[in-house]
Amino acid sequence: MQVFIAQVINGLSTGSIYVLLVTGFNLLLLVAMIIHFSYPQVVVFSMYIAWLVMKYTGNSVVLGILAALGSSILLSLISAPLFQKVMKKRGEVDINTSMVLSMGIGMIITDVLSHAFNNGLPIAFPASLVGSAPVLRVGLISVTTGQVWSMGIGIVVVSLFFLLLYRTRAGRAFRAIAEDPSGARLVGIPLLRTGLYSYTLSGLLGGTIAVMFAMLLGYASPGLGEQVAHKVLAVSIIAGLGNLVGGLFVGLGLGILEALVQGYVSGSWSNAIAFVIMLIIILVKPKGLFGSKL
Amino acid sequence: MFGLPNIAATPGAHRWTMLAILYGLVLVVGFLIYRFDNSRLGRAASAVFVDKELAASLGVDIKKLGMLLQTFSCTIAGGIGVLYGFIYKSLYLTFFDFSLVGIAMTVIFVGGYATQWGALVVAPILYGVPLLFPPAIQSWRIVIYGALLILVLVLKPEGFLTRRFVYTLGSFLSGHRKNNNRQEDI
Repeated sequence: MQVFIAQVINGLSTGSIYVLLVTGFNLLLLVAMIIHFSYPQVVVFSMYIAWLVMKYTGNSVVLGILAALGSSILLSLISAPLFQKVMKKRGEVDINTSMVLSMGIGMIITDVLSHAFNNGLPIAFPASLVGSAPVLRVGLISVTTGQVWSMGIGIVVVSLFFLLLYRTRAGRAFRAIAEDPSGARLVGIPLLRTGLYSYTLSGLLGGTIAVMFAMLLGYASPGLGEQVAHKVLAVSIIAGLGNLVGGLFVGLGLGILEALVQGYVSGSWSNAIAFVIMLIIILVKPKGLFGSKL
Repeated sequence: MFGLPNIAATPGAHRWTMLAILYGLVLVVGFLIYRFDNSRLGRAASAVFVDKELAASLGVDIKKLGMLLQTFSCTIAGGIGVLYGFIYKSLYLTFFDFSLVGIAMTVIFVGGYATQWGALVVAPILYGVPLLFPPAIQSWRIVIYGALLILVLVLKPEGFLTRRFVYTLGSFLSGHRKNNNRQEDI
């Protein structure tokens, strides 16, 4: 029983990272109608920038966090005109070009990380940032500060974004622009300013996830973003594209499933089993478990 | 190691034979796609590509067609797997990773995703030209592919060899040929 509880706690903390990533992914889908497949790569890039800043500032946690947030926002704003240009032509192009564009961005980020940082080797974050200290320990069950932070922030962030998108004027403006830019302009929504806000917001979320990821894992590697990107896309589709609440449940569910497989079967089978189950779900419910919000 | 044998007596001969088989297969698959493009099935596939609902209302069985095309595509994938085994003689799972998908995407989008000619013309150029660069630049080729993919998507999302381009080129060449024939007749 202790193994089961310990694995569920581990699963919840990993799941909360999936939840945050899916929330960021869904946010871009809802406010800009783009499928940012490489969003996890942007997060991993921010982790590397945080690591770099901490390395040269004597492991300053505050500067590291600020660097993660700043780099993520900057990258988000740099990619914004590219996505907007591609989305302008969405009527003329048959294939979802935003997803392919995002893949191009991901290719560049992954290759730059494997060439320019730490000779392509994985990086380790200093103990001052990593939350590996146990808050609670009962037998095999151990809860670390990183797990508590990631779970807490995951739930708070999803709730805040849900409220922002569906209960505020700004949220309505974001969704209006994504659905019909001309219509939104007609009713007086400032396109450029609102667009910039939405990309800044997604960048801010990306930076937050980067810090949480660093706290929970304690390391990063150039291929980390790619490994997670497939799962984030899968979770988003299983939950229902654009469904924030669905993403919360499915993200946590995937984390628990993986942890249980790791605990009772084998770590190397966790991906295979998780993807087979998700494949079955998508065959039964093609619109996702909680329905698409697009 | 797979332990797959050489298909020719010497390693050199094996290499040349593999090259011949590779290009032979490219020609065969290219011919099949060309024939498919100009058949009833090909026209049905084009209709589905342009407008699914319209194609269905014209009597195209989208599900059946999709399964047929997926089976064809998987058959090609199987053939590529066998070729890979005979060329590399060992299996690196990391070879089939995200960067390979990225390279394939770059080839498809730069060439033009609506015709088979795009990939055929662009793949040797995109894969071959970086090999001429110094090793320091070659190691950054994924970044170059990524940048190229982004540039094409932003500036020319339909790629360079579009259906219209192929059609115009075809009609220009056939018109040119017709004119030549007419002049010979006169």
